[in-house]
Amino acid sequence: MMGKRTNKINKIIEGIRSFEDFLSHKEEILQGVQNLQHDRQVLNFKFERLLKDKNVLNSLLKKTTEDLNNAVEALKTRAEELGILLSTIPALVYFKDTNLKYILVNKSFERFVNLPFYVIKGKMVEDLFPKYKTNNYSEMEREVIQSGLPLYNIEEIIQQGEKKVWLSSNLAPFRDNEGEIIGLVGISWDITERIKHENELQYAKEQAEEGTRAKSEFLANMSHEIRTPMNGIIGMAEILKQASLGEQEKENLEILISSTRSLLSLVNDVLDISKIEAGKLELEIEDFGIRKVLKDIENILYIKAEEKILNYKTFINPNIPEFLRGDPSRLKQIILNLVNNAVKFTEKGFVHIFIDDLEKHADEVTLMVKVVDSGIGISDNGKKSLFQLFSQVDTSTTKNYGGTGLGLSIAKKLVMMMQGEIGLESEQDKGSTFWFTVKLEKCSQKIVSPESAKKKPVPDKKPFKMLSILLAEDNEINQKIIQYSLTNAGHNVDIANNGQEAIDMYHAGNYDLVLMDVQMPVLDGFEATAHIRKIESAVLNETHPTPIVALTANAMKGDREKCLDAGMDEYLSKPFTPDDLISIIRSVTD
Amino acid sequence: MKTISFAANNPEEIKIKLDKQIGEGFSPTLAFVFASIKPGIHKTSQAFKAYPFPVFGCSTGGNILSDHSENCIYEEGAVVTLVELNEKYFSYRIIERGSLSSFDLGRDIGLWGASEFKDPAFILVASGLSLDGKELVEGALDAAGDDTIMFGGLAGDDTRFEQPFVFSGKMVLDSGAISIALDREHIDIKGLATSGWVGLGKDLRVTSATSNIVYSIDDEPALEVYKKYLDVKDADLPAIGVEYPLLIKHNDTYSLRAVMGVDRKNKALIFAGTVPQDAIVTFSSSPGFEVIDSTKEKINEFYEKYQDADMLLLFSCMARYLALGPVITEEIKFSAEKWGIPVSGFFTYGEIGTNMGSICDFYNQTYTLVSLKEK
Repeated sequence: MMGKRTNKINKIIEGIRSFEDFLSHKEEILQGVQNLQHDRQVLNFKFERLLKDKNVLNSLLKKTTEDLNNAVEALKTRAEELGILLSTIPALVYFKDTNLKYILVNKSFERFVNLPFYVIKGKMVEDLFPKYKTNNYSEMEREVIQSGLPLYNIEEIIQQGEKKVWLSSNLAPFRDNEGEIIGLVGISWDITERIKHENELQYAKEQAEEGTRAKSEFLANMSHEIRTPMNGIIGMAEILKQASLGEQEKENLEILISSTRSLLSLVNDVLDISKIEAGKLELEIEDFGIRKVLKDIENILYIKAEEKILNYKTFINPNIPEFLRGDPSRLKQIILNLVNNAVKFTEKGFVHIFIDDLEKHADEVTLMVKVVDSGIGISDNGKKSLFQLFSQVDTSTTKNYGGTGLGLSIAKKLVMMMQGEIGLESEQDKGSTFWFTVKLEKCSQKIVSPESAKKKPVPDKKPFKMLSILLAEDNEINQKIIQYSLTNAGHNVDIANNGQEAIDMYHAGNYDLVLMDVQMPVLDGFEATAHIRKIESAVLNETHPTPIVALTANAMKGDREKCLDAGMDEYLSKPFTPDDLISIIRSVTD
Repeated sequence: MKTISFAANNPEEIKIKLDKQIGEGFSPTLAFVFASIKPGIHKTSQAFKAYPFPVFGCSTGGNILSDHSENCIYEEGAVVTLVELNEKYFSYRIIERGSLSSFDLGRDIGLWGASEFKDPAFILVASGLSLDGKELVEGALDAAGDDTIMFGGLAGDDTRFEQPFVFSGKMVLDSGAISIALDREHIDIKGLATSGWVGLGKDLRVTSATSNIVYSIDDEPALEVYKKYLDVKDADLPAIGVEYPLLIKHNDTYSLRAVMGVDRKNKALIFAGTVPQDAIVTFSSSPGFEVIDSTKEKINEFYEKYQDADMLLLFSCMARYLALGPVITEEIKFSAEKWGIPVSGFFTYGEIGTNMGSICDFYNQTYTLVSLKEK
């Protein structure tokens, strides 16, 4: 541009021949020079500008290069660290493309398949593990690629050379920057040792469970074996009570009876514990009246409380429904245990029972039961293990108050079965508050409480007719006690020593009632009952079947149902008192 | 709408030329005055004191008037454009910022304009180096509506970065704004904003910033980052930061932010508009003198759409002048030649505009052209 302008001016100047020529071209020359000056200015600016830009851009380039180098260095270090991580991690790590071909594996993987990476690269799982049925695994890998969702803890056994190896694998998809799935990463652990341990543990667990079952059965049998002679002791003692005895003898006899009842209570507790431990304790859910349960408890403990001049009161929130659904006998057992303790450990003052509803739902209530006493209280130390088996506040408690330390532990387990909690607040010498919660269903309508239907009949004194009774019982002592009690009440008693004898005698005789022991040699009570019922309908064509009452030392769940299902009319659990026996006879014969 | 524009070297010359123009059957109702601070802004303001029309005046980074004369940039004196326009078609307001935030200053203008006309458009200038142009625009849009058309710029001070002004014939404000609200029922207003600046170097993260003050980039003081990357001295800032602004990356777009000031105590940089904390930024530069070709292309496109104009205003970034020097006259003259009418305006410290119908925004490094046409 400048060259052109200069040439143009030069040409004008060269053409000037006179001063007049110069004057006529003066403006043109001046404009040309002005243009040249402008061009020079622009060129100068551009030069300076380019110099400035060059410096700045050089600096930016230098810094950016430094930054890039640093970034590359950092990436290299990171890659090395990742490499170390991959090669040292004690798991098989691999990356696969979407065709399920290996694109990268770690050292552990190479060692496991005993092949170098360049051989593994591009292979598929079936190429590396020919003895392994790979369809399933490949399917799972394909699923991960397709769904984009990871799969965890795939446990499989793999034949690797001579060995069988258990592997646990996690599979996850990996994606590019746009979020497209471009492959998957798999991590597998050798869990052979773990599986071995698990198998051993499982075996040990089964052994332990078997042991517990055996223990439980042993305890149940023992309980039966103990109950039978105790039945004898109580029965005989009750019979003795009716004889004319001196004051000292009467007192001794009371001690004997009370000791036997304590022993019986212990046996019941041990039986409960054994059932709980064997997982055999189940709640018997039925409709019941909660106020009736509380009244029963009061009936049992009121006299004891009155003897100590304790203020015994039960407070129940009137909003709590009359009838609920749950296991009334177990609920009674829990409350009775707490109240019994309260009465036992309170010398003066009060024992109060509060029943409230914590949460109300349309079909459920959560009951809060509090037993508050003004008794000796419990130290912080004593509270710690109070709900554990065989635990009492201290050894002196056993000495002073007796007990086995099983009751609270059983109560806790029962509360837990009823989806509740149990606890206490207490201070030494300042009384105790034991509380627990239980969840109970609501009853939709008022029902006739089976509790009341099942209640122990109270013997009345009205005269009744003499009965001809067949007693099927193999135990001689029991035979004597029962026979004595019944004869004493004015009945005739024939004795059969086993189930078969009972059938024969029933067939031959004419009885108003059969008392049927359940466990007997030759033929047990269930079978004997079934035969008798068959004879009645087929042979004798009886329109009024003879009442049969089961007598059993089995206190396991379902015994009552089993007896009734077998055709019996009532059920009496050993040990029982003569009054119990008379009452039940009356209930089935009246 | 009739306009007459002239350049004057000093306030006295302004008065002489005003008297000459007004005496010849021309009754201006508004004056745009873009002035250097060298003769003294107050003197320039007083030159208009005796006239009844409102003055839309500001100090600049260089005054622009492209008409028939060879020169189109005036670094001394002032450029004046007198407009004869029905007074019902526009409204004028000068506001002192006081304690208002940049956003609230914008809101104030937006609310005022919306109360003046049913469908207003705005031309505005603002002064104050700490002003956040982005917030000013957001405030105005918040009050007047997101689709409001708005053009203008931030006043300059001959590249001293000390104290820009806005002024009328009666007052001078070192922190304030002047706005004209136009009634779009009677005035067509269109515009173009084009930059052409390109990002350079690696991505950096703004690690600490409040509004338009950036404290740290990649956890280093912002001032140090500029010095280190551009290899410049402390004294080169803020000027070098106008030429090499930060480019803020958005998803598909970017915006440029020029440095307006330096907080040397905190080693922080004050930008013409908001730079959000955690923004990803790079340095940027003019791609060279070829940027003018790109500007001309954009002007051509704009001209093809909107050929009719009574008046053209140009808000061109100071950075373009620094980067392109005398060559910048090419892009200025191009518009004047295209429409065949004068272009007046100034080199700004930040531009406000909409680019051919898009939402109004605050820019740096742009060539922002506005065409006005009475309907």
